[in-house]
Amino acid sequence: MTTSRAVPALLLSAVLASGCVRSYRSEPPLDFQDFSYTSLDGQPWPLQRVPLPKTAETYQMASVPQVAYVELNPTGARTLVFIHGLGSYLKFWRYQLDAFAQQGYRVVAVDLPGYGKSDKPATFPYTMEAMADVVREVVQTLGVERPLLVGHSMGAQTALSYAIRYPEEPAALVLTSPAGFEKFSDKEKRWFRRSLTSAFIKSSPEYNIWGSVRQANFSRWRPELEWLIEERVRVVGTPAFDAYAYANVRTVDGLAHNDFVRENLGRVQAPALIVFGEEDRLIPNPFLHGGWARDIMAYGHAGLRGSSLVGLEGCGHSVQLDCPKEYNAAVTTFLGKLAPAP
Amino acid sequence: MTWWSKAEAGRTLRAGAAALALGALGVGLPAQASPTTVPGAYHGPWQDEKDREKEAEPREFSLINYFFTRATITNQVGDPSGLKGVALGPIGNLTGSAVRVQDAKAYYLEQRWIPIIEYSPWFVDGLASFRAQFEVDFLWGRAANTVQPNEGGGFNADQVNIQTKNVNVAVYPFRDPTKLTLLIGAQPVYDAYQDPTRTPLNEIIRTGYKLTFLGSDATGLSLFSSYKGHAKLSLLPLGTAQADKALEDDPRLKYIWLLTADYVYPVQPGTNVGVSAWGLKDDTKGDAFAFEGLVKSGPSSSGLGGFTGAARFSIDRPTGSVFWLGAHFNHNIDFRTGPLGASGFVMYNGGSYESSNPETPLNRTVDISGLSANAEVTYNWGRTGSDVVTLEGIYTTGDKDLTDGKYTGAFTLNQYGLPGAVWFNHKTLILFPFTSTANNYTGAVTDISNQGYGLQAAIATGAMDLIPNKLNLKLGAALASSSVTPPRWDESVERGRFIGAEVNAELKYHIRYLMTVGLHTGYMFKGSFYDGASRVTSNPWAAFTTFTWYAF
Repeated sequence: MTTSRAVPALLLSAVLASGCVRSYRSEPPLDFQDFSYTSLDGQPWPLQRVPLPKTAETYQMASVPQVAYVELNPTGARTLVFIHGLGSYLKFWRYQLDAFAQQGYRVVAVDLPGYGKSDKPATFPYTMEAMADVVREVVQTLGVERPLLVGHSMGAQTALSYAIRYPEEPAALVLTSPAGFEKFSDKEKRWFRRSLTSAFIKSSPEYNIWGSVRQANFSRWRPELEWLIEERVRVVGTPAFDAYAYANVRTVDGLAHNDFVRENLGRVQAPALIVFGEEDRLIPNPFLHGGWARDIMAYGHAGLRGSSLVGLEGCGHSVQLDCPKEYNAAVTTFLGKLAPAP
Repeated sequence: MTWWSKAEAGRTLRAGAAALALGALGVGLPAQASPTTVPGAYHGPWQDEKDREKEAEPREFSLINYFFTRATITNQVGDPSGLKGVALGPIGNLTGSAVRVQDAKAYYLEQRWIPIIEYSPWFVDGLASFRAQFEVDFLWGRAANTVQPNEGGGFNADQVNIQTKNVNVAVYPFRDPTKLTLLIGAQPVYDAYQDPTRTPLNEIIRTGYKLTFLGSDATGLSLFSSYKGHAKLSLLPLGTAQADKALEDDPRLKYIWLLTADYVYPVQPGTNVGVSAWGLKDDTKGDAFAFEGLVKSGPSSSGLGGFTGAARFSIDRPTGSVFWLGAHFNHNIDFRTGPLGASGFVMYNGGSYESSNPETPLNRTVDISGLSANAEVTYNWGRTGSDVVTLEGIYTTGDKDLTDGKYTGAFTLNQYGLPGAVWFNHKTLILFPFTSTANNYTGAVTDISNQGYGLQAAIATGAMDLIPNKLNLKLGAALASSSVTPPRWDESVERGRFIGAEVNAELKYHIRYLMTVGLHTGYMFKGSFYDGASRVTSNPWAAFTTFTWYAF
């Protein structure tokens, strides 16, 4: 190759490799409260807030926290309660809320403490037990009986904690790429505690955010999902982000602080669907364990009596966003097989 | 970083004092004290917002260990004179490591341990960190307690050859290393723009000039800033003619000064474009040493090229200057924004050396003008970041007559170090040296100048995780030619440009986090470049086992 050929080849490589990745770092900060919670056609969801006095009392919190939630089709006979995962918020159910409301379900989606438009109190424990108690208090406050709990990742572990401790209450569980099945040793848990800091989260460059959102969670990324990046990047400069970062640190600790869920799966009475992406890049933990997501999910499937296991080919960890069509179909099929509401 | 904030340091102090006071009173602290509410206005909301006592504690002291073991079977047999236990440089040379490839086999097992310590006491309040990095290398079965480094491991193998790789202090004037870092002392010196004390090596070797021009340790000063783009400025005295060895008429200390300036602009997340301007000034008249007392440095060195694969100039007692002007880019190297990644560089090196010997029979001056270019495209086709195919090409201009007064090849810091540059990310085992090594860094081409004759190479690999993030298989192929026809080894045998073609396979298994074992094997079909070479009469091959563990 001569010099005259080498230089064009290099430039061609650069052109081929360039993407259309937009930077949002220079955009004005966007507060959590200004996130647009809308349906796919841009219709704003009705957002409400609810105080949690029982949670505050149970966990001796300094003040009574409030959480945000969205409720659609309040007259629906059965209620689906959507619980988001670590670091996310109720908008991660964007492809589900309207879809299932249109199927006739009453739909409730909650922002857990520390996330989205909910309060982010430092004194909240951020364990899955506490998260489950928050969901339970919201459910009870809204007068929902026998909720159908739909949780993603950490939200699924939250739903399991709810269903194990209050087995008579949930009518069914939809466990979406659930956390809580994978075994972490005590030393690995200590490593989590030692490694993750608020400063680390706050200083994460935009390229790393692409990594933690797109690369880690998706197999079929589409441009219309870029709001996930934009909101995460622009919210960094807001006053509430410090509390959010701390909530993430505490929640990671809370996710791994005990094996309560993993060791009590047999106590779940509600029928359960485990739906996950076969291309999950977060489960099992890629650094500590490696292996196939299906193997982890099979553990949960074996522990949950009568559960259904559905792996979606070519889908990643945030399967409800990554492959909404296949995900919604799997959930619809599962819900259709349940006994009708009393 | 903000975790070194004053508040953190103060909190640590307060917590320590409280524990001491309670301990003196015989009162134990509960491991997980529940938060208690305080009645009255304001305190509750304040506590909800500010009570963040369960944040991970910053560590004042950290120790990172790199441990590596490699067992090798190969027919590349090094026979270094002087540098016992260390085999560097290209195959076929008569001098230096004098690596021959004949009907012979070498078996050896070598180990390396590199501990890195970092200490930033709380009272420094995030303004500085101290670091030291040492190196212990040994071969199994070699006699210990010899005078040369890198031997030992036999009976009575009490090691005496611990080496100081570097010792430095990083000063962070804004308590935020990304805003400004001043690195003082012996430090890793790479041709990438990042602070090497805070950036993983895996990233450094893909985001600048890939250590093809500069990749070693040196003493000096470096500034790093990511405040507006990424900037780096380094001033390094690379070597000196020591006063006790200088000539009577030139008793002063003479340095080889290297000044590098780099700036990188982030075009978009994960895409960076950088420019560089480096300069080297050498007043040592060829009297400085790359390996003290044994191998002199600079382009007139009679021994260095045999170890590093750089070209030897036909000049006596040179002084001179070299400059580099370069540009590089990298895009999505970790596949965070999509499946396609790329990187590459273009580098021009120019300059001139002048002989300080008025009676020289060699050239009075040698002018330098060379160009190098590299490009790599990677595609992440599968679930993990290790499911990847890669295609890389490199090109350097060559010099068909190294005896004249003009050098038209690449000029790397292998002209001053042993080695001073290591092209690290090529993914071959024999055509270019296998990078996982303790003391043996040999291959067909060990410097991108290819002994001055230039290089044209293409490397393709395909890898897949047989078990995600556990077991990875990589297959590779590569071929290379020189850019000019080199002089004959044997006057009666015509010599060609084709260096060879390599096929290789590697299987890696991750035992635990950052603990990996590997099986690696490669075979090279030698080309016409070695026609007539008395020391390369067989096709080179090698098989390695490796065990690598980063522990911290």
